[in-house]
Amino acid sequence: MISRARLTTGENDMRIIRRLWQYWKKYTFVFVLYIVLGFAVSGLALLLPGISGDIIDKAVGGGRGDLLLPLIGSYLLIIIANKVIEYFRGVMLTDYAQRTLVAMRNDVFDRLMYQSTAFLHNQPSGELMTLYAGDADVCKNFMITIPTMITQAVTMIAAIGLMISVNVWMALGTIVFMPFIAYASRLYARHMRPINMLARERGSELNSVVQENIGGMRIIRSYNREAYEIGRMDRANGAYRDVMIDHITTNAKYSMVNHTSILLPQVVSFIIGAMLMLLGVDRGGISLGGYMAFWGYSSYVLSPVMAFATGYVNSYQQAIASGTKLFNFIDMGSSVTDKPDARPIREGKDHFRFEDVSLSIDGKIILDHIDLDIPRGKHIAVTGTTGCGKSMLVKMLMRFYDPISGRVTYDGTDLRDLKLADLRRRVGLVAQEAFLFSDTIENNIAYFDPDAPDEAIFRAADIAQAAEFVREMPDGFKTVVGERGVGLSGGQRQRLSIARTLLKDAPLLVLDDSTSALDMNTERELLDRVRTEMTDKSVIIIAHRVSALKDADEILFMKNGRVIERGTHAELMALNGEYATMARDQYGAMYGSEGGF
Amino acid sequence: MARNRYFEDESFEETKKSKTALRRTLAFALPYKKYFFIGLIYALLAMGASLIRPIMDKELIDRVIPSGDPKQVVVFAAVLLLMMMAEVGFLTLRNYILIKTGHRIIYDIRKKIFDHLQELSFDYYDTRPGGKIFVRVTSYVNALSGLLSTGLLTMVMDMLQLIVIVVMMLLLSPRLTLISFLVCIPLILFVRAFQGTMRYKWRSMNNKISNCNAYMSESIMGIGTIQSFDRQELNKDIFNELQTKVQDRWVNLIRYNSLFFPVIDMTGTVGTMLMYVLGFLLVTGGSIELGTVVAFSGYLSRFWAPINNISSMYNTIVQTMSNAERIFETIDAEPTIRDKEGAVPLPEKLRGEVRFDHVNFSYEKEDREILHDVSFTARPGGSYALVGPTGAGKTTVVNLISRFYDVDSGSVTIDGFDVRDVTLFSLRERVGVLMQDNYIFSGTVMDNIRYGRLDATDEECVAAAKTVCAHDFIMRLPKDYQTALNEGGTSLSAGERQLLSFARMILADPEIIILDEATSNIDTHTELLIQSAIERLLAGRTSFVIAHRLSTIKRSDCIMYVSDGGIAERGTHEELLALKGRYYELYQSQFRKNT
Repeated sequence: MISRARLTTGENDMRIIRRLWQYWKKYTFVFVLYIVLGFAVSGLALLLPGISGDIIDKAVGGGRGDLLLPLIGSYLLIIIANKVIEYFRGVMLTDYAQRTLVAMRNDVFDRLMYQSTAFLHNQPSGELMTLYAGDADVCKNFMITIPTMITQAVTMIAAIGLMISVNVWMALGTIVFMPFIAYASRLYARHMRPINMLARERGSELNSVVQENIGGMRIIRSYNREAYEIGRMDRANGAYRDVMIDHITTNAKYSMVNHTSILLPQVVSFIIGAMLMLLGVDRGGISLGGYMAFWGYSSYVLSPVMAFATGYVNSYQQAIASGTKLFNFIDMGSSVTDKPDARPIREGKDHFRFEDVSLSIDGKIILDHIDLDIPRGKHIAVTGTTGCGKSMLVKMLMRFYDPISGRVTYDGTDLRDLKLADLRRRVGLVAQEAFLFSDTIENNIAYFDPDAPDEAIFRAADIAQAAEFVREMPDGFKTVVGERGVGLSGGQRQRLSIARTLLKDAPLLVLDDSTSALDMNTERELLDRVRTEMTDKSVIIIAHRVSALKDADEILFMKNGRVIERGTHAELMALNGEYATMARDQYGAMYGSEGGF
Repeated sequence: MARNRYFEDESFEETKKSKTALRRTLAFALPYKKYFFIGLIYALLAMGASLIRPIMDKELIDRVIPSGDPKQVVVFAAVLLLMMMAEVGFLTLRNYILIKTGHRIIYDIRKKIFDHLQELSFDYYDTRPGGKIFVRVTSYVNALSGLLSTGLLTMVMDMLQLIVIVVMMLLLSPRLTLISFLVCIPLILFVRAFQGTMRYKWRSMNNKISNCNAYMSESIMGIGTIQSFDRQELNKDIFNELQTKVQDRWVNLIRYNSLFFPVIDMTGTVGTMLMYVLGFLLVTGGSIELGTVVAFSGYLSRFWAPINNISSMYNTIVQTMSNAERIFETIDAEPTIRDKEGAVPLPEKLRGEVRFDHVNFSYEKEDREILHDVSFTARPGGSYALVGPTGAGKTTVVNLISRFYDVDSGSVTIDGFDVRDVTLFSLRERVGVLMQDNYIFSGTVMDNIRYGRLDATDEECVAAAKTVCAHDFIMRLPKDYQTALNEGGTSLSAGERQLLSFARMILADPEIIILDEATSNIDTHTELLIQSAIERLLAGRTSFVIAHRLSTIKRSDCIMYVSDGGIAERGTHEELLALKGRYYELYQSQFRKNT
């Protein structure tokens, strides 16, 4: 999916860990404090057995009633101190961990906002939801285990020291096996890695099936494809379940290997210990007490070793699988971004120009050597065959796509040398698909400027011929429309979408086939209003109806990515080419006896 | 129901059903009781193996070491190794079988909610952002996995352990047991109060998460619009604000939740201390031995471990139930459009008469009426054009034929069958709709055409594409029919998407055909080319065509001018022109523009 300079596994792991740490860097003190307080908590806890021993031996057993209350009091105090520290320590870490999660999610959102739409459209929406909802969480959860890992590692080293102090031979019996344990956990890691990657992918695929079903629900219902979709989901759901079962199966197998590799050193140490006890203390052996103490310490070594060998390895592998996807997305540059020395646009003449522009996507030629001059105030109409590249042409004005050869200029400057945000402010594009947000009609129209005064909103709605139907709605401009404008007809959505762009008041207005669902009367009134309001501004209208095209200063007829005819309506009619045929077809379909249904 | 927006919390109706969320979740585990039983056996075996350890230690000290025989040490070590491996092995098996079963249950629950979503009608989807439906099928279901795998069994084991310990304590000293239990009363009260607050807090937190999801999901869909309106920075602020709300709830929740274990631990400690005080009094009074107090304190510490575990599990249950409630809320949502009992399929042979009889309709009960007292009869095989201003209700009329919504009053019949009396499957099989919103699924071009009829051969798909003149553009795609399209088909132009959807519909070969703005983004030339195909398709079938181009409409058998919630004018093109009414006006406007 996302290609990156080829990194070795190790290099990639390092990159992910470094990236994860960046979110924690400014909270280093939290990490340190958490660890330090952790030692304080364990230290306090170590005092407790002694006190409860005293309570039994001295107070209850020894009949020292006077000692009872002070002992109980100190016991309670220590417990309270312990719990209070523990409480604040836990709350602190969870709080800051959540902050890093928010930061990661904000970064995903930021990338989404600025990534090129061409790239984003090729991502299954379930994948983006997985990055945001799943991957970020997995990474957060891994990071909060790190302080515990450090605490355990320190405890482990201390315990090894203590073991050695009790008896070198017994300790060696345990220590010799460490490399084997390390090797076993490496093997385990190597096997879990692909499974974790696969589990993450299958989770993302599952999410995509769900997303697609919500999006395509209407088509699914109208074609009776519920059973088919259920079958698709069963496969995705089953594939996810199977990889998770595979996960636990492999886990179980390695758990046996890992546990055995930890049991062996225990048994060896035991044999050595027992032999030393047989030897007796006076002949260089150890006492029963020493033997018991040794086992006490060894549990401090072996349980963290076990945690490292299994649990941590697994959550590390998961974090790498998720982190790789997450940071590939976050760190990937956009194909459409500002150059470092990008020029801002302050006051411009708003003169756009296509100079010998070609565009191809995935090897398919979309636009083939296009020239077009759009000085401010010019009204241009574009028409042509289905899929001829009309929409792509206007999308290039906003740099949704960059040319592969030639250039698009603004006041003589290549668009790629301008600040993207400034450029996009100069163009008001009404996209073919009238996408509305689940919000009030008012907020949808004021999308560019949420602080726009009501009058501006009403005016834009009025020009777009939307005011009337909006006022008829139960809550007028405060009516909430569903996601994608659910509840509105296609024509209503288009008019709101035009109103939204009109409010932006850009010097160049582009209507990309955005009146197709309007009836003829409304379309005419709308376009007439737009033309009179926009006399000092440039307008590009893409349409199929001659009625919408004919009043433009220049009409382009496109076919297969090329402009094959251009001129005014009269000129093109006189040329008697494709445009004239189209006009006659539309006219003939209405008045003539041929064609049309 | 009012439409829910990304920043609005979903309401939650506290019904009897929500209280049974746990029982209903556990019902999903019931079919797997065999595996839980096996898991229990493994758990008991592992426990047995671990209990032998202390006995062996005693054996070692009392017998093996004094014997002074190295051979015995080695034999002993071998037995020890075996015992430990047995313990580890049984534990691993227990986890394996439980977690595996957990994933199977998760699969079942996900299937249940997804299958139900396939039954829910348009109105369910109309009234809430898709992102809020999405989380219920994905993360909410995943959240149940901990409870449904090892969680349940661990709880059962802890309860068993608790019972054994309580019995032991009672046998040892009823008086000491009683005083230790005294502290359990405030504890139970605390846990109950705590649970109520936590349930509320988790719900509120989930609402905020759900809002973020809805916003994210909508931002993915609308990214083109967002970028062209230069809203990135503002939207980032909105997203950050939504996230901050999650953060605030989270910290608040954690502050509260983190009190849970300290309080339980403290209660345990207080209980132990009280026991010591009483023990002291009893020992000094001479009524019990010191040894009893020591032994009792040993049991008491073991008494609190399972209590801790059970409380922790209880806490997890409160948390996961806030997810389960939402899942069951969806599963319980009644599809407003469904087969009624005794629904029959439409007959094999349809004449294709469609009749509206005094139909009234509004999308939401309190909303204004979209259609008011609409009646018409479409004769079999006739072609009907619906024209009129946008938003007048043309799409609504055709939505009612496919029964995407139900009429408020009156009836829609096909060949005399009320659409509410026939099976939805047979109805939608016979009525083909080409909608304004032509969704393209991720998959190849071929897959998308075949969506119309799943058993169609490649040749049939290609033939359908040729009929609607889609073949040419498809052949220009990098891998022609095998070209992979993305979700939504954004790599195609709108006109190309319409052609593909058209091919899909041709392949489905329905008997009643509805074309809703089917060719609005297709150029005139292509439209003319596919006209003969459309004519052939429509011949002999009842059809409804919504279009704004008069050229598309003119030759219909009957034109219905829809406006103000009803059919204002109806008749043939000539009749309506002669009427000099609103259709005439529309026609004139087109005429004026083209000369």
